[in-house]
Amino acid sequence: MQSMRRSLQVVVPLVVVAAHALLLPVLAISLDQMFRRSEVNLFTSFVEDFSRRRALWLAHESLDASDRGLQEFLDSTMTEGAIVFAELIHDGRSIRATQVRSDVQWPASGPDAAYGYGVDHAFFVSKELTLRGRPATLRLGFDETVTDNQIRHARHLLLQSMVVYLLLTCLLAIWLSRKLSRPLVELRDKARHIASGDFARQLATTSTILEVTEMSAHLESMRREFVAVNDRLQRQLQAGIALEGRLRVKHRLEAVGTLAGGLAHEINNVLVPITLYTETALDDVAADHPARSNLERAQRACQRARNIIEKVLAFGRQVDVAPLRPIDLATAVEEGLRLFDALRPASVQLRTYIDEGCPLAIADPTMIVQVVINLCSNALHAMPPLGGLIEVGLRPARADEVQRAGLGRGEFVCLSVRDSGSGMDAATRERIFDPFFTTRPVGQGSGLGLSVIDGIVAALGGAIIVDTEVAQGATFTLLFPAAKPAAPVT
Amino acid sequence: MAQILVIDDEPDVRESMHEVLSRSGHAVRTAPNALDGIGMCRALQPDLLITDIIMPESHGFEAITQIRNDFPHVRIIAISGGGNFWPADYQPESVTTTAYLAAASRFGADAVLAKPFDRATLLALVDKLVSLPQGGRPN
Repeated sequence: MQSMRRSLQVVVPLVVVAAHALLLPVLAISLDQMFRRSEVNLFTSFVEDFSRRRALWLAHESLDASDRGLQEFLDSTMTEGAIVFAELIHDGRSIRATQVRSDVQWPASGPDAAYGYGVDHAFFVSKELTLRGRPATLRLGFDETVTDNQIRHARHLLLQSMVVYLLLTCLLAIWLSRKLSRPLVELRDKARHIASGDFARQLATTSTILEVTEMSAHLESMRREFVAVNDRLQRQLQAGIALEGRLRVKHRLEAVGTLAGGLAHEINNVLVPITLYTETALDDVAADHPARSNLERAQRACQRARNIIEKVLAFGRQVDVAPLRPIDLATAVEEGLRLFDALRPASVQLRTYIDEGCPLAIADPTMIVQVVINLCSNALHAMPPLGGLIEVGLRPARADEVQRAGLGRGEFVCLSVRDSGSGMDAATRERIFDPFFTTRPVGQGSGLGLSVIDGIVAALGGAIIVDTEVAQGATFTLLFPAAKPAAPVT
Repeated sequence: MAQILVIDDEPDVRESMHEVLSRSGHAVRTAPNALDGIGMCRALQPDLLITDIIMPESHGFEAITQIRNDFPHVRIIAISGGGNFWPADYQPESVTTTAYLAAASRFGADAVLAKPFDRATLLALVDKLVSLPQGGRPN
């Protein structure tokens, strides 16, 4: 009920009907009165004029004033229009027209004071005159029914017109209310869609009403602004989430790095006596002594332990690097690819795109070799059984890549490894740089590869961008700071 | 034959070095910390001091600094297994074995050696330093 009262489609017709219900009776009564008065005036004027003219004629000298002449005069009067009674009072005698209606009698109280007086529907008038030198009275009665009928007919016409007018007005009000409410209802429905999250729905509507069109245009521009702001906020939110994810990974790596640093110190200290005592013991046993092979195994195990510690330190960014110097990355990348080629099955294609114009980068060649082998090996692992394509590129980095990687100003060299493999979902993507995280079956990978690469790239002052989606392959883009060109010798 | 003092807080490390160096004919003494080591160094004035860097109470930089000041002729080898002043003031980006050993060189160590090392590396370095003329520094 509440919503019905508020609906424009109901309110407008109701108001129109209510207004007419009040105004139309007043108008109808006024018009009726006016018409009636006008008709009565016409009637009484006619009556007055006719009576006067008949009286004048009666008083005229040329009239036959005999009883017979007077009777004929009265009878001829009766043939005129609406006369229903004619009588002449003269010398105390009454002469009446012969056609007088029997139900019409001269009223005892004298002629009518007003139209519609009495029940005989007759209007009586008397005129005093002088006939043959003596006073006489002419009494005439006029039929009111013709005028009554005209008044009634006019009243019917008026009522019919009013009804037709009222119906047309109601229809117009309904049409107008629909015309007004349609664009508003349309806008309301669209606004509901927007409120429920469907921001793409346009708020524009068509209407011949200028105000509605303008309001619709303003609302649509508001929606566009809102969508733009919303998009901007969404992008900022996504960027914030991505940044938070990277920070989380960074903090985790730092925590593991802290642990690794302390652990390496302890184990290195343990390895010193094991190594030295093993070597000393080897001196003490004869070449053919059965313990000798065991001691040599222990010695090799020490070497393996040293290698493991180096790897652990590498992902903890404590890698003890050889002195960094400007190197041509292309040479190191080609060396890495040559080594990787030995691992590559024939079903996997390898394409390389090396830009010879790349600037030198500050790095250690053995690290770059390790990075290339590791990334290509991961790409191989992601390949479907039928094989696929690995593309390795080396070129100067673009400004947008440098900005995306969050690196400062300067020139960078870009090493990219793209594979057509299975790709990664977001959860895997977030964890790939975690130490010991691996998607390979147990025993097929240490899970240190990407964390070591991340450590190496960070130690070199570079950064890694990973682009991947499930079933869309993966691209690892590594940026290394370029060496500043040497000043020309003067 | 040279007189060598080994300072390391790890008993196994100093014992094993003691054995290896003794077997190569050197006279070896050991100390478990930098303070004891400095005292023994003053008393013995060895040809060569081999000191760890990260040790509890006082670290190897103190020993290197004092001995280099007081006894310029004593050769010094700094050894380190990385890690840090565990764990409160760990700085992952800057403090590495390389950084420690580089610092030791700046404080006056003649040579540095990253743990773990094998016997051949240790003996080769010791022989190289011992055979240098007095006051000479290795390249």
